[in-house]
Amino acid sequence: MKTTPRKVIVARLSHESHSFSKLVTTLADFAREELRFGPAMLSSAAGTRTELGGITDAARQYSWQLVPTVSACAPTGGPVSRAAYDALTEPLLAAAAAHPDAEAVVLSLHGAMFVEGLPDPEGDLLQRLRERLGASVVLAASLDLHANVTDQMVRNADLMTSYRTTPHVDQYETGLRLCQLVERTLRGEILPRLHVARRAMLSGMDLGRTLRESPMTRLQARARNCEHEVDAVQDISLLAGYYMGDVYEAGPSVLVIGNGGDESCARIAGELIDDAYSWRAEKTVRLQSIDAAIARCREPATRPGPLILADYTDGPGGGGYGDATGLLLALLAAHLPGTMVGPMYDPQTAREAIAAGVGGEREFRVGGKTDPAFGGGPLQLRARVLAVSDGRYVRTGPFKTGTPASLGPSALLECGAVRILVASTRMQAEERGQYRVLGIDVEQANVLALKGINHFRADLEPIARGIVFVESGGIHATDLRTLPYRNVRRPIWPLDD
Amino acid sequence: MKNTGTDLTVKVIAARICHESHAFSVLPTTLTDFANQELLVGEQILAQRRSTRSEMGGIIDAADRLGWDLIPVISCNTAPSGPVTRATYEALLEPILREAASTDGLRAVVISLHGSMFVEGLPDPEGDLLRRIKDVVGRHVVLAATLDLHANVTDEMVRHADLMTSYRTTPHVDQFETAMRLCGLVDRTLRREIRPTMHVARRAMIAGMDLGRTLADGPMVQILREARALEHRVPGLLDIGVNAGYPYGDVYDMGPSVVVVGDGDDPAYAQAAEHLMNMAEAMRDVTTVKLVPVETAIQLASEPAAGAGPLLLAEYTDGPGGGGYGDATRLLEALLTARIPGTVVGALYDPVSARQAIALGVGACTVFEIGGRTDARFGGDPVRVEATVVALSDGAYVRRGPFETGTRASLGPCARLDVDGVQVIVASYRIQAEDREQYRILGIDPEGSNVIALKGINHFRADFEPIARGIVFVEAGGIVASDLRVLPYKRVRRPVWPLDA
Repeated sequence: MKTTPRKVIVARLSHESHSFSKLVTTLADFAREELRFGPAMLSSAAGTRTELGGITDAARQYSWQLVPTVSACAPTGGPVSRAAYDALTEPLLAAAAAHPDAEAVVLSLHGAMFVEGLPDPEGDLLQRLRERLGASVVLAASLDLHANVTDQMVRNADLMTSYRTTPHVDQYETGLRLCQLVERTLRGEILPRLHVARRAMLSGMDLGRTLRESPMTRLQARARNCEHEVDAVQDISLLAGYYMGDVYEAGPSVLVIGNGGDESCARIAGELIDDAYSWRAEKTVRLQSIDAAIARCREPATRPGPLILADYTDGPGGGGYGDATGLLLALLAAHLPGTMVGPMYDPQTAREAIAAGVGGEREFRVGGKTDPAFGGGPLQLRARVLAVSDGRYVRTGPFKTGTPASLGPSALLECGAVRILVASTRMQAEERGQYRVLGIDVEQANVLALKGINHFRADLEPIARGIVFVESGGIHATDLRTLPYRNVRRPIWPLDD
Repeated sequence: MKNTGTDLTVKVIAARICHESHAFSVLPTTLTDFANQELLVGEQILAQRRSTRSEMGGIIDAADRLGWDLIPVISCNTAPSGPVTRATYEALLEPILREAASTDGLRAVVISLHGSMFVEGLPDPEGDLLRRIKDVVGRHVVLAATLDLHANVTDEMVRHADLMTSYRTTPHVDQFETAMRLCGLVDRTLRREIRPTMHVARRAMIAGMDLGRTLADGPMVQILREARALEHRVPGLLDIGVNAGYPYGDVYDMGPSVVVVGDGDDPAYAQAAEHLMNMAEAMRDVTTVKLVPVETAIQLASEPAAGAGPLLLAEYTDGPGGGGYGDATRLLEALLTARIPGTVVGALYDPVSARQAIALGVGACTVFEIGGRTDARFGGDPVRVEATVVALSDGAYVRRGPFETGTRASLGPCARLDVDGVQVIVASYRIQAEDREQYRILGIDPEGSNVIALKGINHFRADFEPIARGIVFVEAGGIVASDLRVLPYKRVRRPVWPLDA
């Protein structure tokens, strides 16, 4: 018997928004990174190891008729402007109105977006879709492992599942798994119920790291075990949360998808979050003060390769501004031979250096321009221009291998023993190619101070003699008590200890 | 006086927000439409527009020559359609406002506008955006705009911009020169060689200037010739923008206008503007294109061919290039009745029939309901026919005609149907007739056809006029109405010609 294919609306709206960053994320940020509409979003996703790649493969397997709407993603940054949010969601809401016969909506979300005046945009979006499409449509979303899962999201979605790795290498599998749950729901094989559990903690699960044995890997192992042993449990997501998101429910959560009204699911969610709570202070990465980092640099090298000073709290990958100067100031004073700093976001200095030309020497005001309150203001210094570049490179490290990227117009400055790479793109350190475009052989550096949290480790950890994670006062703060939370539920660890 | 600031670089923001919006179309224009045609930000603008004959190409070239430190922000455009949604407008404008607010030492903002955008609840968006940019940058930063020749220039635009200049050709082939000219004026203003003032003149008319056509020696050509003479003759007169206006907007100040840019204050500038508008008013009903009713078109098509090549029936009033829906059926219905041998109709916008034909496959014969789905008030209902599927295509083609030669385009999934010998093309994208390849991909030989009924206003002429034995422009009730009195204007000043004639 020939049946009409099921119509499934698909969209992707992904952003991790640092609530306290003053860099508002606009349409331009999405257009620079990922912004596609209609069929174009599917054709570009086909064959990639992304959520949309997984969703398109699943749709083919289940013979769904996909209605592609919008696919938008921007690098971690400040709150998304209301204008951008409204314009990006409009095509999806219009499709929901135009296709009342859609049986499901499959969304790829981050889960930690923050919009000006709207702390829970994912909850808002799911609710608006629910209102338009009614109770019978299956509303499903994939989430980043750093999602802040809100009650509004849980109330309106039928299905949600998240990544299980950090760095996140299982986007494709997550999209596929979600669609499998959607298909089983549409066939009436399961009657999904979402159970969420949280504790009074804003941080925990070791921020979700799964590179080595950690609270997160232990929790994941237990979760897989429960899925295996308890019939009602269909899927378990462990979410480390994103503590830079100022929403009531911010922080780690456990999300269990149960079949029907089985009591065991809520109990399992509770047990897992209790474990997470008891391990909340356990971390595989420790940050050190600037002074301690400089002291480490003075210790004799026991292995070849640079000592990496990761300026964790200013890492653009976590929403940092990438131009904090506290660590640079200390390194200029320390006079350590072979010190390399950067890339540091400073388009003005890059432009001035390019205008001065290679060999030119002049006064620069380096970095610290975005918000001197976090990590130090601009440094007035005299420097010589060693090299300039358009900043373009092709990634050769393990992260997104073979794809093009760019620092934007950029320059290498020399000031005493310190060389500084200034760039026009606010970009996290991610691989050696970023240094090669300015003629730097980073393996030969003695000390490499970079703006990085996670991704740089893939390409740079193997060549380093060590990594020191530095707390330098940037906006990606590790002492959460310095942040001006307004919406988070209180009391909560570690704010109210 | 010389700029004695420490930062000698001349920082100039470049942006483009361009759309011709049919105020009465039911098709809202969203971010999807811009992203599918042109939506570039930052460095992407330099990478994709440098060395092109576009406004942005001209701005980039001028900036290089003048040594500006150019800050490209956003560049967007999409095909004429209905009102832009408010959310889309705000999202497109926001990056410009933020960049303007955060750039220290900014000297100028150069923006490429159409001038006939219409936003839900905001009939004069260009006036709005120029005001909001000026509010952010202050009056010492030069705010300059290029305009399409079909701009509806409002008082609000004139009030907040320091400089505006328009295309001088239709079809528009001088985008690059327009931007270069504007940047030259900006540069002279920044050097304090000139102190520009603007003077606008209008008459009680919302149509005229032969809709700006410059292919034949009509009213527009004569007015432009006089404008160039005035630029030479009147001391201090810097530039004259002659705007034919866009009759499908719905804003108070709409219609033909002349904008004179002068150096300092001189009554001669306003006089020049008034003089040119007097010319335009005197010739307001002179047009180089005449539309005929459907019956006349059928009669002309039925006559024995007086030459080689097809007779083109250009369904002007439904042309997507002017904001038409591209699926009006009145002419189609008449041609199906007439059954003139060798008739080709299309492409009509009809994704439903296209999908249906593709699902059935070549050779299948069934009942289709063709076209008329968007808004049956304009140009007729769906036409129910029995048809055979002759050919199918994904619709992709490479333009071989003179218009954007060598670039890629697509009709979307499409089909060729045979209805009692009449070939009808149904397509999934709402696209104007523009290139013979649109027919060849479905196995139709345009040169060998007898009658081709297409949805076109202007652009198709570049590739089709040379092979046609004639062109008949047809009034078939579409939304690009030739009788403006059928349109529900709400905001235009009254009385105005031809509404109240």
